[in-house]
Amino acid sequence: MLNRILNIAWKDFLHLWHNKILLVIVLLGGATELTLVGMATGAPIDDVRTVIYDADGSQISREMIARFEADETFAVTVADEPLPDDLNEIFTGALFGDDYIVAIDIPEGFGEELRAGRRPEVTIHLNAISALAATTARRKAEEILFYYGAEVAWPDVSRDELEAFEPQITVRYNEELDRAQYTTPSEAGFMLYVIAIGVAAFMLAREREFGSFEQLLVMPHHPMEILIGKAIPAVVLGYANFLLMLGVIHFIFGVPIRGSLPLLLVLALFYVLVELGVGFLLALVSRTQHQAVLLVMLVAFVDVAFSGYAAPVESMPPAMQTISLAFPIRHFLIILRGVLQKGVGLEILWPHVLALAALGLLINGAALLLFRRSLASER
Amino acid sequence: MADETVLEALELTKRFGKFTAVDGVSFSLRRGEIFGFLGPNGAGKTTTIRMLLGLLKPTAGRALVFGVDMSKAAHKVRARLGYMSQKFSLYRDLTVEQNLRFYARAYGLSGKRLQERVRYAVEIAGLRGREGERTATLAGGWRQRLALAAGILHEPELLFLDEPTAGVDPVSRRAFWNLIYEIASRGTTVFVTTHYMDEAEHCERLAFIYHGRIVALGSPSEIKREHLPGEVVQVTPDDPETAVKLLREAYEAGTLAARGVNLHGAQARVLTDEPERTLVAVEELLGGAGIGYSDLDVVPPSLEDAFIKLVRDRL
Repeated sequence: MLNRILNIAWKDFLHLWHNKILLVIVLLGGATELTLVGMATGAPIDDVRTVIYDADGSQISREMIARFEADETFAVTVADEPLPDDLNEIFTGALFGDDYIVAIDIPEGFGEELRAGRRPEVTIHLNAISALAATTARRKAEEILFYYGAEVAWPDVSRDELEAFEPQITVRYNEELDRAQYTTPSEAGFMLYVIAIGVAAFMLAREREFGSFEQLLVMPHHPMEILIGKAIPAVVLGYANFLLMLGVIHFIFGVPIRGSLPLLLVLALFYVLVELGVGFLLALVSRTQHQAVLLVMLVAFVDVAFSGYAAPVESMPPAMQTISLAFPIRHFLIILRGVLQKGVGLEILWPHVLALAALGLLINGAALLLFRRSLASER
Repeated sequence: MADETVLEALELTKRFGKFTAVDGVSFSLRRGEIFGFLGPNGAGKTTTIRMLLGLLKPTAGRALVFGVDMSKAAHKVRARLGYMSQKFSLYRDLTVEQNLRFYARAYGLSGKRLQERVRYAVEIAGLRGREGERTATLAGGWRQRLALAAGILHEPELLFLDEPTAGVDPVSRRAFWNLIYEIASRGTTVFVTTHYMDEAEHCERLAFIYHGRIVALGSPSEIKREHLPGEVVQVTPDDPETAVKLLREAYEAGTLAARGVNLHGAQARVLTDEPERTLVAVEELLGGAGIGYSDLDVVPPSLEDAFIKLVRDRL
């Protein structure tokens, strides 16, 4: 039995070996994409184009502008006329000749209000098209406003004392606000399963399309032996990708591995097995390998939306957040980030492991059922 | 044990919705014979073979192979069967050797025996020195022979060949059939489907299937005797189309003693019980119409004549 399973797995590796382009894509596509995504998103955020209009013109307001200018996050232009009502003129560059991401409006009487210990309103306009830069800039701007305002309002209180009272804004798991730290683990988790289900779907659909599946059934194979034989290359290639990408994200992008690496490796393997059934399901509803591959892409797109890969799950509507729990990738990305960046273990992650187990039973059970039905109605 | 039964089809029936693909088919195979399953495309040949292999559950009836009901326990006899399907034979992206090794291992061969059998298969496929070539690069005839060789690596007792020579040139078909004879001579029973009449003549026994039913069963000569008494007057006219039209009109008008008129390639064939009289009549008809001809003769009927008649009877 084992010999027959390995025989099929070996044959499938030969198919891949003979299809060099596919092999290169399967083996290196993930790491390449990860590197590109990491580099594209990993650049530090500085020199965010900022325009400030100072309606106050006091010494206090000028001093604050100087703080902004001194901070490398901002590239400040001081406007000599009031900001327009239609901010698009600023953000599209129609007004001041540059497309700004941040516009800050300092009101008249800012200095006096502050000195009197009241809270003057400073308006910060953000161009959300550059969401990432805008978010970073906002955080930084708030920080500057807070400290500077406090210094002016309570000159006797030292900065150290202030910090003791106010929680400092720190970004815990992503210290340098380096987006590559967020995107690259997602990418690794994502490729792990896309490659696995892609190979599984492609290999099974191919046999069905060519009619060789029937030949395998006529040989002394139990149908399950065929399925397991086909699962091996999918798991091996998906997992190899994951290991490669884990290396890249750790050694090239400096993502820490704070938790237990062995735990992560075991859970990653477990996760591939959970998703494997998806690949087989897609192959079983397809008539050709092309159909199967297109379906894999479709499923991958849907998963991108729900996984928290493209957009944080927290920013989704509540209904979508609930739905997202039905996607194994969502749980695995939590596990992955948990182990890598938060350094937590099963004591925290167990609900997600349990969820994966349940989803795995469901997915693979459905795949087996469909497989058996396809055998009975094979025509 | 010359007439030991290795396979039995008992009233095999398969319906797909309202369409009856195979309708109450019964026959049996004796050990060591070459059994031809003949019929036009769509007659139900492949559906029957799939039921015999246990790939398809019959709607009614049973398929017994070595006494095992194939819809229930096919796995018990799989190792004793070989199958070369019409749709797929080999993995085209794999080499000759890789294909053979895959087949051999799937049937549990290993070590020295695997080496021996693979070498033997390469030999009978005539592919020595080309083991490393991908099968996609082989011409159709070579590939079919290789597929056959792969199918007998494990020395099956019963070999199913589904349209093994479809789309293969005549010379390669001959070579292929020589291989089938060799395999059968070693004691393997061969079940082969085909729609080529000339190949049917190579079989020891035949079943002719038409619209899902067996319409003739027996050896080629039995079938001819039973379904086609009489002889054939054959002629090669200069203008075959016109000649056949003329002869057919005469036959339908009752002025030509015959049981049917067919066009076969460039030849007109007239089935008759009175060959001498018909011969003279054909001579007169063609001469009268001014159609030149050659090779006018009385020949024994072919299987094709028999099947054309069988099909005509059913229209």
